[in-house]
Amino acid sequence: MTSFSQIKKGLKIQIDVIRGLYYRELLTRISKVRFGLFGILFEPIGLIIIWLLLLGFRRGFEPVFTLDLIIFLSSGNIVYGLFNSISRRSVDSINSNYALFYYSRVKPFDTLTARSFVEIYIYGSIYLIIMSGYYYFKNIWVLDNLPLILICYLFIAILSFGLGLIIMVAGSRYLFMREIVNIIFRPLYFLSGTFFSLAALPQWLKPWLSWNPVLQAIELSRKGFSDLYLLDPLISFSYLAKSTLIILFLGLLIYSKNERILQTK
Amino acid sequence: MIEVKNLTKSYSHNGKRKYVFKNLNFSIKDGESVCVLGGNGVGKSTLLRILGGIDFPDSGYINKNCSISWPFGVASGFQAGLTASENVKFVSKIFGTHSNKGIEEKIEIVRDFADIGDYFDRPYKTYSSGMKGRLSFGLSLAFKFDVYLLDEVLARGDIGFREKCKQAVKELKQFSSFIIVTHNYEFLKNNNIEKGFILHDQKMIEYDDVYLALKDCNKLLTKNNDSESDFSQENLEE
Repeated sequence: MTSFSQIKKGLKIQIDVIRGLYYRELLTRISKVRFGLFGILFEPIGLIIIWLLLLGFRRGFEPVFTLDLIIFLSSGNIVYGLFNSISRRSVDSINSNYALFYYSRVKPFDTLTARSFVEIYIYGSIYLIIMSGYYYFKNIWVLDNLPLILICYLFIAILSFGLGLIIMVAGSRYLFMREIVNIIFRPLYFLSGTFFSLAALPQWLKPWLSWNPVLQAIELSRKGFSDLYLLDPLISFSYLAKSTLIILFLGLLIYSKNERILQTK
Repeated sequence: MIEVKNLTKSYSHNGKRKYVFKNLNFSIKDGESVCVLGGNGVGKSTLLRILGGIDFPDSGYINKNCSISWPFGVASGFQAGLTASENVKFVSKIFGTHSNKGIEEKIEIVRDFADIGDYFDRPYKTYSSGMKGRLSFGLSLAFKFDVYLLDEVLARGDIGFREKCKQAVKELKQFSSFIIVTHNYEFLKNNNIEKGFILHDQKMIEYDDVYLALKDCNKLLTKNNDSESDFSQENLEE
């Protein structure tokens, strides 16, 4: 009985801490970028517009496997943006929150959780803005399978969180790991299908790219937008689910062994 | 009741292990306030950090049945880019106050005590060290703990602030006790803090008379027996 009430108490503290950190994280995120919230939302939208113009003039503004080019690029860039912001910036979340470990109840785990919620909120808003804008101009919702889109979004957030925990530990224990993470992440943008479809690639290339769960999530989201979107047989939902769970489990395991090192540096 | 058993803390520096302290044993009764004395770098702040739960010993453990604050003083848990009121709002939230009214009350308490004018709504990084001290101590008034850890709060700040601190400590002392790092005899005497610990050479010496503790501490630090008379005159005149 005592253990149950202890768990309840601990959970209450953790939720309080995450709510506090969420407030702080949103505040600093907004005050850091020029034009505040508008700037945060505009940054990924700007990237999508650039890709739209690049691809549009290169190959025309036709749909990709029946999926409109705008939605095609948005789903890719938003899912990748969420992944990138949560996992890669996890090391920053230690550095920028270090002063807050002064309160013994604030743990590195909570800082990454709060940051993940902020990113989920920001990229979710971008999704909403683009979809609403699309509806406004074209008068049509492109949403064949909303649950699939939401689940992919959630899974990629969880996967990024798990990977973020691993990167956080690695980057804090070994400084050179931060450089290595940066080097690995740079080409990942071009390998994740943000601006291409796996089905459109030559057959020999596909197995080299399909291992990437981010690419899997992006392709599945596109399928969620349009049922007619051509999904490569190498893409499967169960692969995404499995890799998410494995990475999350691994992240929690590594984190739990290293919490004190992160907290005291 | 805080019970400390065999507390050892060390750092590794250039491959060599350097001990801050070894096998500390002491206990503090409920409602008992103590002061911690010692020279620069003997580990007073480290000890406070360990008691506050934000640093961890190599071995040994701490038993406690009371709530202990984070150390108030030189270092602090303020985010440099945020204003004081934003920082207070954040701390209120992590300690479970989410309603606007509750947060507003806490901000007002800290604002009143810190008394730093419109700096309160400017980023923390623009503050002078005196202002930082004011804010840090002001925060202690807004949150209730059984034991407060105070790390040289009196060292900074002008005379007006020190007077305010004394008043505040009197108020807090009605319900809580202190573990305080200070060498200010007058302050200790006024607040009836009789128990003192000297940290020296990785060990801890316990005193029941704070005057004797201060005297011995000065002796240890100056390695000079003559300093005894200087100290007593200087501090009693204050």
